[in-house]
Amino acid sequence: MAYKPRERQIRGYLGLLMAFLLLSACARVGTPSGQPGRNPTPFEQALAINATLAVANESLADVVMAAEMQGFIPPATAAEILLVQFRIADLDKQITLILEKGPEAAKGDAAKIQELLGQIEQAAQGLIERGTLGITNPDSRQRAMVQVSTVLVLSQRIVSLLQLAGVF
Amino acid sequence: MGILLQVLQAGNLIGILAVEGVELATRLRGLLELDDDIQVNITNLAGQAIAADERTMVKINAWRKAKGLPELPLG
Repeated sequence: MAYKPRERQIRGYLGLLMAFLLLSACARVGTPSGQPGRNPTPFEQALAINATLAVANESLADVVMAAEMQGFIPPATAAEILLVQFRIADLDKQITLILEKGPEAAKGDAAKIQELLGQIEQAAQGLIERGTLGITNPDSRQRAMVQVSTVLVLSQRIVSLLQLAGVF
Repeated sequence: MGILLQVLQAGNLIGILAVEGVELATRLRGLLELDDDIQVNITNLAGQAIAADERTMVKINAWRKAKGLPELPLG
């Protein structure tokens, strides 16, 4: 199957990200010396992925602001993208405030969590559909696309982990 | 399609992605060193997520203020 260059790039980003996630899922919980560790529960993994999403969103904001300062992106375009980033951060904070109450409490807010994650996914997808994000510098553009793709894939991964955890 | 094949398809992007990976790993240092107590982990991980989200919102508002744009309400 032949892919356009940008599609190939995004598929590459997603492939590396999935590899990272698989490695993350294999991480062991630390225990006293000499004792076997345990695998993190799906709910713990969902929280870890959620924190990763928040950091990726922060990184994207850093990239966009730096690109604007260097003249690689018009201020108006940067403002549009950062508005979406602000919204993603706000949505993610709302999700986290629910999840930190624990898996049983989160079950009661399952519909709300799904709605918020859906909004994050939509926002990230909207940025990806903008293509270059309006960034002229190739390096900044690639870094931004990696972070946007990361946010999208992580939001989908959180859904599947919360399903495994029995929240949905 | 296998993950390895997708990674290989990334081709000339691997160097850039490696830099991104290091940055991500640095920022996430300690994230996967989990405690035996699940609630401790949940509290710690939630704290890290909220801290990153709040940093993002504060940075964006600082940028908007510098550009003469109105600040956005913090959640």
